Amino acid sequence: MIALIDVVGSNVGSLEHALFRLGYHKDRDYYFARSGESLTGASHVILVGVGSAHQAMRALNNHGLTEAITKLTVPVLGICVGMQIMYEFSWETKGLQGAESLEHSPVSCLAIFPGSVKKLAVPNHLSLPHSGWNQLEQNHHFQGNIRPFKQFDSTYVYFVHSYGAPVGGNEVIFYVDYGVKIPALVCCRNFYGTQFHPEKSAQIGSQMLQEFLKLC
Amino acid sequence: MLAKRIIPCLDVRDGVVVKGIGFKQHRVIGDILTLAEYYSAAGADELVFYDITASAENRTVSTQWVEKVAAKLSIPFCVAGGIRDVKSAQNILRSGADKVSINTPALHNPDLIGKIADLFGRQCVVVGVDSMRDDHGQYWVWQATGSEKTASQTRRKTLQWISELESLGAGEIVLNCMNSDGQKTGYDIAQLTAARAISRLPLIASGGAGSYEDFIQLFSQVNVDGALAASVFHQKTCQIAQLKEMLIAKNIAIRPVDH
Repeated sequence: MIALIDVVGSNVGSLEHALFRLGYHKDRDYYFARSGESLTGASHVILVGVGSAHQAMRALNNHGLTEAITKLTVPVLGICVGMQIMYEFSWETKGLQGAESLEHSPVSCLAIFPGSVKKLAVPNHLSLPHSGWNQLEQNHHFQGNIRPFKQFDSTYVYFVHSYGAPVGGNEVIFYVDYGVKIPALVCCRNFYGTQFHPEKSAQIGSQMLQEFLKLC
Repeated sequence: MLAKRIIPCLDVRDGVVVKGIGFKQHRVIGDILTLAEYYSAAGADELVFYDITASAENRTVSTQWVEKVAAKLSIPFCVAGGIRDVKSAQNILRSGADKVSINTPALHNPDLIGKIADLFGRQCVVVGVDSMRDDHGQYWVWQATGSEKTASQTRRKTLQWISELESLGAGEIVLNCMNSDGQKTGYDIAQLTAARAISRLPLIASGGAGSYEDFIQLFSQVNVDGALAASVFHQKTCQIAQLKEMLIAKNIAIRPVDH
């Protein structure tokens, strides 16, 4: 069974639809995990984040999920904010807009990947959020097993975000270019993160979800 | 690089897709789900569903078809029409739309833009601007353009309104140039260029596409983020796959059609 962690916000509908299109049904193939104990026995875990890292971590902490997630040994996929909270810290401390001046210190996150998630420092002529289809570029310094994802090099996937993971880490499989490099797909051990939304990335996104769900 | 988006627009009225000419006469083109799936498979980067009667006739878009579209589509889509308060925006977004586009209600209640952005993020909030050039070359915002009976010019100048949208909380602008809409004589490059110069928000061109060349001209001449069009796709004057191949050949950043 696939465990979906949806404690943050409630907008997992598009992921559920994507799973359904791949033939996965609720209760038969996946369920919602709302406590640390409920992760026991899951074959795969998907961490869907909506909102800010601050909201996401507060929700995980309140549900006793934080430590349970870091101890998982099955494949774990974090999507968007779900990926960002796999880093040590995030500066996305508040809600959505106009919050920057209120930031004092970053939010402590899951610390599966090193470094801090920060607001994207894009050139002035580019707008935030980084929103739309962007092209994956392989990071040739990645040391891990790229085989399941190699086929996605140079494909376009769908992004909507204003914060990004640190550049230069060994966990980065693919970057995209938006005036600055942005880590798009990351992996360390059994933990995977996509800054983009595979559930909204047409056929390519479906294939990626399928590749993830084939991992064991 | 971020790809330029090709966005078919499906004007919806009474649960079917229609197309008007200059926002006036409407004729039925087809079923919402069928066309949504068709365009998604054809390589559209995003879809916009515009309930053209909603704003004018004080009707809120039904959310049932939004749910069905969300279940089928694996690309983002936006719903426009009749979204006049946070509640109606919330209904549409919770039904699975990725964005809502507000037009006339944003003119009467600009704070609505920020209220929706605060709850769902500014990336969800598109502001549609219907703009017409007068005889003196001045661009004016029009409202309630869903029907000829209600359409009227406002006192807002288009460029002034566009310059305010980022600080109001908008995440994207669709600029529909009414002089060229339905004319198939090309996008209004001059107006789009002026709009581009005063806003950093993603800007989507709308109104006037009639040929492959019109898209090439648009992306070669103005740094817009996407092109929205309806009849040129519905009448199959342009096939998205061929359009994308032509744009790629011109070195324009485009997501190729999946195979």
